[in-house]
This record gives sequence, C-alpha cells and structure tokens, in this order.
Amino acid sequence: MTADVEMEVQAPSSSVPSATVPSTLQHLKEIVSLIETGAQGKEVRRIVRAVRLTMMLRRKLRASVLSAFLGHVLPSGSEAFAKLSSLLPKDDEHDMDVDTAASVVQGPAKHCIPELEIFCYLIVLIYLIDQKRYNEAKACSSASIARLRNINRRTVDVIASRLYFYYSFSYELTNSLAEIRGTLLALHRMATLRRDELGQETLLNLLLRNYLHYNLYDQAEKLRSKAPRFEAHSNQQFCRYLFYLGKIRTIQLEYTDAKESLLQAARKAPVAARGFQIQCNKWAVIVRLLLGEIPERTVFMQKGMKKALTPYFELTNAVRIGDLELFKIVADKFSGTFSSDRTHNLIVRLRHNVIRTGLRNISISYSRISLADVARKLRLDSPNPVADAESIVAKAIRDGAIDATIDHANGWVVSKETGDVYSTNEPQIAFNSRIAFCLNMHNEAVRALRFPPNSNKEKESEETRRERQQQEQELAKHIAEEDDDDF
Amino acid sequence: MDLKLEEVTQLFERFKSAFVRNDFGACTDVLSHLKVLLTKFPSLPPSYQETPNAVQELTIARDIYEHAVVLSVKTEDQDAFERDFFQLKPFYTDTCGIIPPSPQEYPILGLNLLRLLVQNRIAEFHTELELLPQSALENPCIKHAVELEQSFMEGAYNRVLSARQTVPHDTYVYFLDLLAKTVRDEIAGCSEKAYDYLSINDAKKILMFSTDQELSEYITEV
Repeated sequence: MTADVEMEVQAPSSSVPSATVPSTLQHLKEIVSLIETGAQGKEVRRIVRAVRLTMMLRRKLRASVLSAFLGHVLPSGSEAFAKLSSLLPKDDEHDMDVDTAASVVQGPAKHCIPELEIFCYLIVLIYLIDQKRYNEAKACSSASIARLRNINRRTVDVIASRLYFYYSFSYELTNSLAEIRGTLLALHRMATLRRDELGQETLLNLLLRNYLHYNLYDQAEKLRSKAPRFEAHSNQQFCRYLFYLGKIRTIQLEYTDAKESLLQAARKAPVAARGFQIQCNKWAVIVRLLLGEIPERTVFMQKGMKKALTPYFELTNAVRIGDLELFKIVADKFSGTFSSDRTHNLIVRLRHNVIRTGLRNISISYSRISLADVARKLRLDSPNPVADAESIVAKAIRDGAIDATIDHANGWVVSKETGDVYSTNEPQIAFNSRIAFCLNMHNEAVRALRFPPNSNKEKESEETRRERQQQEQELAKHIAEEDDDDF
Repeated sequence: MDLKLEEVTQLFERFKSAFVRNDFGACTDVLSHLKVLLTKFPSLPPSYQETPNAVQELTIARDIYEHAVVLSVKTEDQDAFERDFFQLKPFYTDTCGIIPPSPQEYPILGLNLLRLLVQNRIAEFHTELELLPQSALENPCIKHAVELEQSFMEGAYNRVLSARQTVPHDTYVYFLDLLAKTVRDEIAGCSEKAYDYLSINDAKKILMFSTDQELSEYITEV
C-alpha cells in the first residue's frame, strides 16, 4: 500500500500536531491548501499533486467526512453546496471521525475559489461511484459539467480532466454512453479552443471509447484522424489512446500499424493496470496471428494473465499447427469468451491464416505432393476439394507465402528448393528492423526525460536553489508514483 | 393524415407501379421528386422531431429509400447505390426505438457488404461488419456476403463463382456478376505465378471461358 506509506510520511511535515494519526478530513484540508496555493501561484503541478493525493484517500472516504468537508470548504449558501449535500446519502455510521463535529464549528469558510468548487464535485462523484450509487453519480457529474463550462482557468484543467473521466465512467456503468456523446464533443471543442491539452487528450480518449463501445469504428477513425495531436501529457491517457488506435487499425486491416500500437500500449501501461494489459495482449496476439507471426509462449505465461489468455493460447496453437479442424474446435469451445471480448469477427478472419500455415508446412516437408493430398491434409471440406486446393495454392504462391509451382496436367505441386537464407539479404533486413527498434526506443526514452520548468536558468540564489532541489525531489517522486496512479 | 404525407404516399404508389413495370426512367423521375418532398418532413434524420406523424413519416421514408437502393442496383448505378444507402442507414441505426425493424434491412445490408467487396474496399467491409450484432451474422443474406469474403481471401475462387447459384435475393446477381470479373482477373494473376505452363484447354477451364476465341481476346486485353 504505497498510499498509506505516503500519507504517513506526509503527516509530520504538515501542521497537524504529531502523535495523532491524521484523519481523512485533515488530509482533505491539506489537499485544499495545496490547491489554493497552486491556484494562487498558477502552478499546475501542485494541483496535479493534490489530485493524486485525493486518489490515495479514495478508499477512506465516508459520507460523514464528505459532508463535513463540504461544510468546511463551500459557503453554505452556495448552489454547489446545496446540490452536493443533497446527493450525499444521509449519514450511515458515525464511527470515523472524532473531530468531525469540531471542524464544522470552525465556521463558514471564506470565499470559495472555482478550483475548490470543482474539486468538491470530483470528490463527491468519486465517492458516489465507489458506493455504486450510479444514478446520483450521473446527476452529480452532469451538474459538474454544466458548472465547468462557465469556468475558464488553466489551473482547473487538471481537476476537470479527471472529472470528465468519471463523468463518462458513471454513464458507462449505467450503460447510457450514447447520451453523452454530444456533450463530450462539445467539451472537446471547448478544450481545443482553450488550448487545454490535457482535457483534449482525456476527452478524445473518452470519445473514442464511446464510439468503440458501440462498434462505431468508422466514426472513431474519422474523429481520431482529424483531432489535433500533440506530445502526450499523461502516460495513462497515451496508453489508452494507443490501445484504441490499435483496435481501430485492426478492424481496418492495417495489421502492422495495429501491432505496433497495441504492443506499445501494453508495454507502456503501468504494472498495476493488469486488466488493461490483458486486453492489449489479447488484441496483440490476434493481430500478430493475422500477420502470420506466432507469438512466443512467454506472452501467455506472464504473471496473472495466464488464465485470461488461455483461449488465445489454444487458438495460437491451432494456427501454429495449421490444422483447420483443431482451429474450428477451439473457436467453438471459447466462442463465449471471444464474443464477450468482441474478437469473434477477427477470429473468423484467422481461418485464412490457418490454411496458409498448413500450406507452408506442407511445402516445406514435401518436394512434390498431389493436390488431392494437399486438400486432405488441409481438411478442406468442400464439394470440390481439388479445385479449391489448386486455387488456394495458386494464391499462396502469388502472395509469396510458399515457393512452388503447380503442374496442372499431373495435378501436383512442386516445391522449389529453398536456398541458403544467408546468401540473400534477409538477415540484413532482420537486423535493420531490430536496430531501428532499438534506436527508436532510445529516442523515446530521451524524449521522455523531464526537466523542472526553470532548470536552464544559470546563477541562482541560495533561496531559489533550495527551492529547486525541493522541486526536483518532488518531481522524482511524482514520476515514481505516476505509474501506480489510477487506471 | 396531413397533406404532405398524403402527397408522398400517392407519389410513392406511382413509383411502385412504375417499379413493377420495370420502367426505370419513370422511377428515377418520381424518386427525385419524392426525395425533395421528404426533406419537408421534420421527423426524419437528422432532426428527429417528435411530430404526431413521426411513425408514418419515418416508415414511408425508409420504404422509399429502400426502394431507391434496389432501383440503383437494377439501373446498375453504384454511385447512386452508395448515396441512397447512406441516406437509408440512419433509419436502421437510429430509429429502432420508434418504428419496427424493416424486413428489408438485412438483404440491403448484405447488398452493401457485397458492394464493398466488389469495389475491393475490404477495410470498410469489416468496419460495417463490426456494426452488426451477433444474431445478424446468422441471417442468410449477411452470411452469404461473409462467406464470399472468406473464400475470396483464401483464394477458393470456384466457391465464389458457385455462390451465384445460391443467391438469397435476386438483386444480388448484379454484384455477383461484377465479382466474377474481379475473380477472373485474380485467377489470371495467380496462374501467371503458379504455373510454368498451361495448356489452352486447361486455361479455358480455369478462367471459365467457353471458346478459345474468348480466351485469346482476354489474353490480348490483359
């Protein structure tokens, strides 16, 4: 539990008197002060940090804490206060906070800044979703989105992007994603106009998810290709984007690109996001099979994924052997899994690859074989297997899958002698692709390095230097934490 | 029933009678008139206003576009087919809650799949396919198109050609004839690579020509 450790470390440095374990409410107040300083100094980084701290508190939230918190932060007469408190369930149990009552007495807070108001919406929304009160969550998120439209501050963007995510999530949970498509599009347009890149990134992903939920690949691709692109701000959003991109490209038969995106998504995803990685791997396996590659066994043996990937493992096996019969059996056996993964149509496409691999095996093992035997070995069940086999072999020869000729008069296939691979420039090509991959990886690693905003300033006073070091430390922590974050 | 609806209904009857008589010239004229009239219905896509006549309006509009698609097949106009199909598509996707599904839906969707196959737009073919629910794949019209695509990808060309005998709908014949031409080109391309030599007789059989003359014409053409 990194969250708890983190909080324990934090506590002494803050204003909370030592010895007592800080309550959730106090943590929330710390976050509030973080947001306030961030908003005043226009430091987006502080707000990012605040949001991350909130996610760590997620499991500790209670209705009583929240209502006390709302009372503390929001002016009691405000619209937001009335709306949010009406959404919270009326007290379940009072076991949690000893100081709840005390803090309420602390009296009405001063004027509330928009960042805090939006933050209140966010935290209530998260709580409602965690409590599975989806209808309230929907109401809450819609209200917050309505409010967000009227706020134009860069420091709100970070919180807003989280809010968008939960907004869409609450609608997805109630299975009504189609309703919010228009709103999301409007929000995306607004984010683009305001140059809110994090918002654009988040909203674009939400829209893609929305379209793909209904299998609207055409619309998704049109939006994706026309939406503005820029350096990714958040690793998580970038992973999602790559995954959706991979899916779209798979459907549109651009397997090579799809494979690249899917593998990259799986590689970039944080270790904690196992479900996401499984999804990526499933799709990546199919795409690689469609490309005629056989994924290595290690792909299926990754920790925690073995069970989920079993159907795909058996499928790979069938394709590897090139046995149509076995392929059919596997496809039937796991048809439930495949249709719930929505990969059924892709599996149907694989039949062609099964035949190809079978044919390749035959051409390697026989120097001459009759077409009738080819048909029998491939187990083509059709009224006229020989003619089928002939045209299938002919197509395979033309596509370069096998190197052979057909003798029509005698009805047999003659394989050509395979020459020494090392006399061709095949090895060169293989080396080239590997080197290109390594260089690319290196470049990306260099590009992913981050520097504090004013690191290029020379000659700094003692004061600023200390501040800078502190910032750097925070940044290091930030990067370390990011991988565990949300998903 | 209000006036506009009345007018459209009458005109549509005229269209249908011309359609039955196979008088395609008259059909096209009436159709363009009908399409103009349809723009005056507020309940149609994309506005979907909830007027009292919405159900009748949507139903008749869908019927008209369905006929338009079939007409475009009969007049062998692929561009018109694409246009009409895209006008029809919102009726299938977005009006399920308002009017009952049309019996023509799957035949027409299958027809569209076939068109994409003929025009070799395989990516779009698969994109369209993803939109169909699992149950639709069992429908003979859709299944026909899907199986065709498979045989086509595998290279089992004679299966593609024999599919002409098992058409689920008579409008499919037009596209299957077009497909046969594509298939012949494919076979020719494959044979070039796969055979060292081929007797005239075998070539005739493989490329499905009945006389030597047709074959030599085709050869000089390619």
